[in-house]
Amino acid sequence: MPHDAHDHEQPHSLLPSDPALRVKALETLLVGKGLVDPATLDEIIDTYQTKIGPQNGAEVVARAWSDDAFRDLLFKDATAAVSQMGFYGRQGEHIVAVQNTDSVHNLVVCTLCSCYPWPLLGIPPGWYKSDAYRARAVREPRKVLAEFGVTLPDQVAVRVWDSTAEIRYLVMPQRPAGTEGWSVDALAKLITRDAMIGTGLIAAPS
Amino acid sequence: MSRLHDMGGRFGDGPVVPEPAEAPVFAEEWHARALAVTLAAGSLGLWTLDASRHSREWLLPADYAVFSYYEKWISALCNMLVEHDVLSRAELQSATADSKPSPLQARRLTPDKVANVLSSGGLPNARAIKSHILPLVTRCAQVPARIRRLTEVTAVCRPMQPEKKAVLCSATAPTCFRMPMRMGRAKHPSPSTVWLFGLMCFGRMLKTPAMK
Repeated sequence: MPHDAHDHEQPHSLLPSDPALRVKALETLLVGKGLVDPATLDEIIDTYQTKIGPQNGAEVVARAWSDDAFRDLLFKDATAAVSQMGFYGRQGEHIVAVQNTDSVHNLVVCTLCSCYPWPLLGIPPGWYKSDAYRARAVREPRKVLAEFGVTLPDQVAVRVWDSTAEIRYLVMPQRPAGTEGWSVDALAKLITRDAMIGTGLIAAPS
Repeated sequence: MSRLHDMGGRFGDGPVVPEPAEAPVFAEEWHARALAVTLAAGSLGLWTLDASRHSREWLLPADYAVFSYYEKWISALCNMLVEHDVLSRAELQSATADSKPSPLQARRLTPDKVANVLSSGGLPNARAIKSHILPLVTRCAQVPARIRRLTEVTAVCRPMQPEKKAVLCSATAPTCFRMPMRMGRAKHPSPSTVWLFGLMCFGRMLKTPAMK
């Protein structure tokens, strides 16, 4: 195929082999050409370290637990629902919410790479991008879940959702018993990143 | 045929090693830098998010198999920068930027625009559409014979309901798509067909000899 590049060296091989130096070399060249501003890079990094992360998804889930009209919209058109809360953007243009119940547990993977709902959960954790998770989540999800300390009863079906460039999934975990009457903020604090990927459950408050 | 990135169901991998919720977003400082450089370079508007995914999938299998996640990002970015004539092989080799002023400097992303860019989604921005897609669409509509020579596309697009935006989705395709020939042959293609076809061409197709 014309774009297959086996017949010549790819340009990246001209960069240093150490990955940290490789990044530095490319950044230095782009800054030198006036195409990248180092302050912009700091701003992007800060955004994903402090502003866009699982706390956003937790707000969505807590609201869906508390507000029936919002929950209905979330399952009808999740992109519209989360956009209402200001969570829209890169790597989250089309979101689908899936609900855990007493009989179904949902698990999200991206077998091809690392597609993930960035506006809701931020940058995916290392294990989500690992070969082992990508390869095995679709073949032996219960074994993978056990590696996260999650053991489901046999009668609970496991549904695995393979994300794509177009569709990103958010798992709505089950609301734990003992949280009746809790505020949205208090509920949000219970909700973990892994529970919204499907590799975790929400523990009942002690 | 699939490529190495299509690894769902593969046998032979070891256990998944979860990390605690409080682990840092970026395990290494260079991971953060690799992500930020990639997003900042992407905002120059020369390629779409899907083209950048594609470039990672198109790394040589021998590299893909041993590169860590962000090594794939940075290496694929480097390949795209050379492919789009932003950087030359000579500059990479000498690790020194040449002194020619880049016409792209005016597009440099500034810190105050970061929030807007990150919250605007991955569709081609208005500037990219204006400067790349529209001229291309015009040319496509005028020279169908050339279009017929473009047999391989690296992205396919489809209208999305309900807002009918077109999105590129090459990343999920294990192999390249073939462009429907009827699109290029239509005597009076509808505006939406031309629009979709323009998007299909956006990216690598700009670099094919037939389009130059």
